[in-house]
Amino acid sequence: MLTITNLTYRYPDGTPALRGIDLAIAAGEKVALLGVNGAGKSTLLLHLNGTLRPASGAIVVDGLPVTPQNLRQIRARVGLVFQDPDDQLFSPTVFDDVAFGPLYMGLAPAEAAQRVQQALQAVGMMGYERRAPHRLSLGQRKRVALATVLAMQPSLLALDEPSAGLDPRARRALSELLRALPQTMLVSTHDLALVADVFPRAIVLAEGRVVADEATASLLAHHSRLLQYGLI
Amino acid sequence: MADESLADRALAPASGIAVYDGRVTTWLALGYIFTLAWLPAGAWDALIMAALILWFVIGCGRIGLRLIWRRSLVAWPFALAALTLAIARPGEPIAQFTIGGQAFTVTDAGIVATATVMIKSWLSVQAVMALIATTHFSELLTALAALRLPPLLVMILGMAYRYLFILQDEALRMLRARDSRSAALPNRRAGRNLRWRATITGRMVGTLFVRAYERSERIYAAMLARGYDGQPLTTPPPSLRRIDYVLLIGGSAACIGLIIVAYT
Ligand SMILES: Nc1ncnc2c1ncn2[C@@H]1O[C@H](COP(=O)(O)OP(=O)(O)OP(=O)(O)O)[C@@H](O)[C@H]1O
Ligand SMILES: [Mg+2]
Repeated sequence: MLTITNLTYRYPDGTPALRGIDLAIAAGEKVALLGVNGAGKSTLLLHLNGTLRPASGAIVVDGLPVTPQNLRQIRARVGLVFQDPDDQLFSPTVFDDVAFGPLYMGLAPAEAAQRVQQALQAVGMMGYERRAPHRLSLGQRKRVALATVLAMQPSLLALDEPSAGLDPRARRALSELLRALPQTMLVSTHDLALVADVFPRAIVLAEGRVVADEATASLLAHHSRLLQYGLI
Repeated sequence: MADESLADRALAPASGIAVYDGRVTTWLALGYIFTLAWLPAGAWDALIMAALILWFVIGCGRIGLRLIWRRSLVAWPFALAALTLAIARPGEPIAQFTIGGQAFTVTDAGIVATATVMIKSWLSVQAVMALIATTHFSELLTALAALRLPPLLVMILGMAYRYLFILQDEALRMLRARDSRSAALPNRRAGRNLRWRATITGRMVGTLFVRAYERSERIYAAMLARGYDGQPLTTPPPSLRRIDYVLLIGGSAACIGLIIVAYT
């Protein structure tokens, strides 16, 4: 489903953010992406839909390499939710924002409207359709940001800290939603409760490298390793 | 968030001119532009010398002439406005054409005026680009303040500049957000139609200004919260060194020389 080989990336200012990432995720797998602030989680996720272009290495989604020529098709397959919801939302109303993806893909307006309803329902934001996204609370914006991608029904969800800023009930709802969704997922988070709940497999990044890739249960069982990776 | 913001385009560290005082580069650039404005229409020899002097300085500054030329293309829409001079100036008629029943006459004096204005604006833009590439905006403000520009005006310029950054940053974020969800399904036309895309873009522009305004309000609130009281924050600039005076005198001499060449 997703294969990343020897991915490296350096920001324009020279900061090396990724230093040779290799990983493979099978269809339907739900994988947590862990690591301290600055480990490179967001940078890695931004590569999955081609927002950032790798300095070297390759990414293949469902047999389709992520290249500038394939971007439109890749973006139908990979639903990326930015860490900062203000990076995600750009429309005057919540409805417009969630409807953009489905409409752009060419769905009929009625079908798109139905997708919007489903997506907003899934994140518990029904009734906010007419509100301006930039005037919502942070947690509300995070949830709308997720809805914008759910409405496109991609086959791979790349979520960047989806539970950050959510209240406890919204976290629980998110956890249930992610468990129920059939999609393949790579989700960065600092929320170990969410990891234990939803993701059978966990990948730990440190300074742009994969330092652990294993069953969540075995990782969480080792207090000393969690300390070492800075996860607790 | 912006990958290539205005800040990244300030090439100061790579440039040789950057070691010179920001006031010197600002004054020289302003002096050059005023001198250009002063040159009469058709002063080709002076204009050619002005161009060579500017390119020589840009070359010495290792800013990269090609980069400056590419960026100076932003001036062409404005230069097009100069085309109207070709028909507005009285003179010897050269050609005639009609648009919508209205007859226009192109005159020789008009063509000379148009060409002069175009060259002047192109060179001026290059001078500004070279200035931006070598001088940080805060130094530019210091230079303007030292020219006895009212402090309030300098502060407003500083604020406007910061707002411009915010505007650019927000615009890039929104464009990236839109791109990231502009997807195509196999066997289906993506992007609907031009009218729909234009509507989306139009709405984005509206949202952009609201967002940028609200963000600048938050930044201002944060400045107030940290004790900013509306007074411009400036430390007295260091005094000019000998090399700075040499450059200033040399630059002034060149400008005066251009004017003399043009009028004699
Ligand atoms: N736009 C940028 N320009 C330069 N360096 C950047 C940029 N964005 C991130 N970095 C750097 O790249 C490295 C990885 O950053 P990244 O945002 O991927 O971390 P992260 O694991 O997502 O952290 P967090 O948990 O705080 O979200 C960090 O060292 C960071 O400082
Ligand atoms: Mg991050």
